[in-house]
Amino acid sequence: MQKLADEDLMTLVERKDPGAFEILYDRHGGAAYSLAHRIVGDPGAAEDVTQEAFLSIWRSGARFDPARGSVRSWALGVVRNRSIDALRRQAGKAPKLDFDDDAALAAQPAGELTDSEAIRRETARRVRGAMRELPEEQSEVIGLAYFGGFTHSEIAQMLSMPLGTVKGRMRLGLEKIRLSLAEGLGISDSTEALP
Amino acid sequence: MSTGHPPYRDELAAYALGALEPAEVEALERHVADCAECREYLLWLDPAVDLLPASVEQRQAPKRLKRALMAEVNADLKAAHRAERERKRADRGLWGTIWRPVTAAAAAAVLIAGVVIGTALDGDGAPETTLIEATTVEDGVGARMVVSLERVGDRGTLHVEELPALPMNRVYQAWVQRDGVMEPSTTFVVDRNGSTEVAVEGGLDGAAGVYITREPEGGSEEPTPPVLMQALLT
Repeated sequence: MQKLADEDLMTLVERKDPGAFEILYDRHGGAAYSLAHRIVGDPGAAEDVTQEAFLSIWRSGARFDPARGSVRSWALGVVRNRSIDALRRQAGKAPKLDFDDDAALAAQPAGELTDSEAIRRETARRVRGAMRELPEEQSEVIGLAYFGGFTHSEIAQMLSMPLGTVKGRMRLGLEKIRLSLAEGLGISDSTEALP
Repeated sequence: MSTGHPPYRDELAAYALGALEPAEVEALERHVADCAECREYLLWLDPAVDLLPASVEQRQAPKRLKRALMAEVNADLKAAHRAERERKRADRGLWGTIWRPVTAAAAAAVLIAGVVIGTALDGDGAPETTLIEATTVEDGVGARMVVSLERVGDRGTLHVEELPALPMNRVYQAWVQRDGVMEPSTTFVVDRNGSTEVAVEGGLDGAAGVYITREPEGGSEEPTPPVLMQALLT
């Protein structure tokens, strides 16, 4: 079962196969916990959110639709939504907004990492590299929206700028990430460039 | 790639990041459903949004998290096996033999007439089967949807038709109202015909109604307005 693709494992999870679910957790639990930790900013809350999200996947796995993306994206989307909910319940708690996590990464001894963790961390470095290429005002609005769960009107109010400017910066930032990831991370798309 | 329908590109980027207000989401989803250019642009943006989680510091999840999760999974399986045994026992009662021959078409016809049906209580006290037609809550919201709730004792099944397909990252979610509190229940998507059947998680004992909303993928803890349909149990 270890060799099955995520999509095949999800078919088994829909049939309530605990072994398939355990493998899915082993593959994506680390990334899920990392994302939850980044959003809620607290190890205990991140554990709760990750558990809640994976239980919802176990209990409603039939809602995964392969036509709508990969299992990993779907699962991390569930974790992100649950994390934002948890963040909103913690009244007044501000999200962490910087993308500079390299110092923390460097503190982790490489010898303790499995191959998949090492790959995951290398990917993380490259994605953060792409993020750093963005003008600060673009990465700021993307971070507030994605990791902070703020709407564009909340961000506009927070940063005292027009709504149109906030949305424009989100678009420019996302397009730049998309284009640079296509080059640097091997995302195939034969017609990448924006006309 | 498509540049998207130009007047909507900023909105689409905000949508992909989950940064639009609920009313704006609804308006944009109506547009995207009819605009191939915008759908293509959204698909093009998706990998950028999908990779944002990889930009965070990668941590190792505590081992106790997996232990706690698998304990819940195993408890769910035991509860499901127990419920299945009870269901089989109940099915041996008379009500099962009465209900089975009722075809979906006949049930739908009754629903369109807006009738609430109570059927078949057997002599051994087996659960009563009740079909309740769901109704809209606000004018113009969910007006074309056909939803009914089949109740057998504590168990409920939603039968839905003609629900619009949702874009990525959105699901329908059922809510059970009990003691004035909206409890999150099943999340679901519909097939190409806008139909599906889903069990209502959480049971119906003591419930005043079952409601349906649109929510982000994975469901929410609180319902996001507007409520699309309601099936009142009282």
